[in-house]
Amino acid sequence: MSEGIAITGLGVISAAGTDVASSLQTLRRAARPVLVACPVAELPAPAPMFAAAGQAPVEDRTFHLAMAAVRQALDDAGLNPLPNGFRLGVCLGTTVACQLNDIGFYADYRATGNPALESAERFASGSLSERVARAVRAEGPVLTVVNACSSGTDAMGVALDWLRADLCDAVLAGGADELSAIPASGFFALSVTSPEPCTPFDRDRQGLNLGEGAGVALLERASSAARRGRPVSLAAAGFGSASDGYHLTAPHPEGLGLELAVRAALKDADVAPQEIDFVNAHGTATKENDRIEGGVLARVFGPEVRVVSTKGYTGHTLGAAGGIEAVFTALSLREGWIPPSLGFATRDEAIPFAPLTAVTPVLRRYALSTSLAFGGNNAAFVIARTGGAR
Amino acid sequence: MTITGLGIVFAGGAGVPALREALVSGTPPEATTLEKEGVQVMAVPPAALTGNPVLAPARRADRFCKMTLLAAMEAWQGCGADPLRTGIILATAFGPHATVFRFVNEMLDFGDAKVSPTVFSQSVHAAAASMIATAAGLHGPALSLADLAAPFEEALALAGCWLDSGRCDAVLVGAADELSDVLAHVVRRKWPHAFVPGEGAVFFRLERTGGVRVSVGPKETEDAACHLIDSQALGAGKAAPEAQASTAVPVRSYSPLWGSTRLGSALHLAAAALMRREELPVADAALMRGNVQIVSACGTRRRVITLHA
Repeated sequence: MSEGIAITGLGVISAAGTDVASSLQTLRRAARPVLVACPVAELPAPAPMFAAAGQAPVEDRTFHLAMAAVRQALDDAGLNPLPNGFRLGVCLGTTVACQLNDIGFYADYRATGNPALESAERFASGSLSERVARAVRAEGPVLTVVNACSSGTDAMGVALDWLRADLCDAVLAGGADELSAIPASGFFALSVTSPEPCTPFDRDRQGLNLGEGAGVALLERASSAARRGRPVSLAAAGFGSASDGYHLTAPHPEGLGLELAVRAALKDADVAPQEIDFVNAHGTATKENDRIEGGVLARVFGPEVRVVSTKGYTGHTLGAAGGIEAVFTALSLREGWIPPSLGFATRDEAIPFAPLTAVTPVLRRYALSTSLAFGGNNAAFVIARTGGAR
Repeated sequence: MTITGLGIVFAGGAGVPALREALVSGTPPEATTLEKEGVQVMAVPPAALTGNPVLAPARRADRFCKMTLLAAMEAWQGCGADPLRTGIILATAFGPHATVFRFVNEMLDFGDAKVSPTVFSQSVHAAAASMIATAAGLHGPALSLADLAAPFEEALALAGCWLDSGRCDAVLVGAADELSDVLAHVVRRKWPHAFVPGEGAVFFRLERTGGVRVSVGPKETEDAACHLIDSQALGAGKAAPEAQASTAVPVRSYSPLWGSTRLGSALHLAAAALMRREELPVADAALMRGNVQIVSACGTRRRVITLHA
């Protein structure tokens, strides 16, 4: 039996707040952040979005958002500065930062054939995880997950794999993404964006709102945390992922891949479905995602399953979503309460449950965070509370 | 972990026979010229990406997806592992960037709201792995990763984790990158003395037993019979590993067969695995019977893949 993996640091930035404390306030008060009109693309219909709170620079924004969450997580873990010889890995997910997608650069290339190379230089200087690793002087394994909307959750799985294989002592795992014209235009073209603030699992949901931010957890081998004398109240208990093997953009109609991923995560954590207190669902508020995800969660956990989607506080932050939602899930377990699913008003008869609509006490040790993605990737991450709630 | 299957697409063509022919002849495929940039490249020949029935489900897919699918399906053929327990890991440096620029073309030409959702879908890095899963009917984990330093090495190490932990019984792990006018332009200006840029995709089927053993580590070991290096790694500059390789061990490179890419370690592993499996009539055949180590470095990061004797 491999040793346990602790979560010793958390960092987050999104429309819900610039850090853990401000995010908790927003979630506790069920306060809807102010949405902005699409700031990155010219669209003929409203497509409101969730901009990150605070003043992250516009240039190289995904990196700066990632670093904001990374610094918080390292501070929280007492790893700033890193001890000598500490083997720190970095595994972050992203969708925007993996592409040389500077439209100005490309427009200039088309027009003049001789564009300024700053953005290409920056792209060639390293991937998101490589640049973060350099910035924090991490010397362990480095990998950038580009699994579309499940990237942040998949990064947690890679971190677990590395730590169980003793490839490093700890891993900065999560995801980061900025608002960008390419996904804004693409999701609009796919007709999955909502002209109103999103309402996950609601009967009248109209689609998703894009968002931006970063969520990072410091996953650490329990022996390393003990050596450093760090108190541990949270653990990364298990992970599962699976492919639909069905379609590039449409989820499997029965949620095959998601169900396989959830059951694999429970098995990995050695946890029965009834031991899961709540699920922080992907819950994008698109018609198909919420119906299929709802069906799977009810099938695995029963119709009494307690579900929240936090997309109503952050929007769909794409590659960051799994990281942000893992952090929110961990915070819920640590603080002892689950935030309401913002925007839900009317039960959808096609979904076997209604999400939580009030601040609700946590009753059990385990919670699950799920992600579904373009390409039929599905990922599920089980987090455990190892001490008492605050 | 062991290599039990291999698939490849490169400037020499599609399929292991094309790699075999290139290794035996030792002759680099002919370079072509990218019209817009006037740059010599070692591109995958168009004929390699047409007419193969494996590509039927990908007939509308982009070039990146087609190269990837061809290589992955060749490596997967004959696999008896449970589809629920067969994973996919695809490593890339630049991803389907030509499709991203195609999408941006639409934004610039027609406006942000009048873009093709199909092109958008294909511009996502995870599209290629999705296509493999769908074509092969696989439901195990699928992961796409994009890094510049050592993406294939990290993919290989992760595949080892999946096999060792029992999460998967087989993993298709590979690397792919494509050429484009924009990439050629950046290479020409950023690295004016660079070698001829190349492209391709290479996949390995890995299982716990039944093939040639392979592992990944941070440094060379003294028992190596041969070091393989990517002598033309795209953008490697002064960190090129030949400057750091041990002089006591014979050093070889087959990079001229596929051009300058960030896939060099994967392509060299394919070459070594094939020479080992088939004892090809090549000058280096005897060296390949010992421990072969593929050494790569980018900046301070160093990774060594060992193909064990």
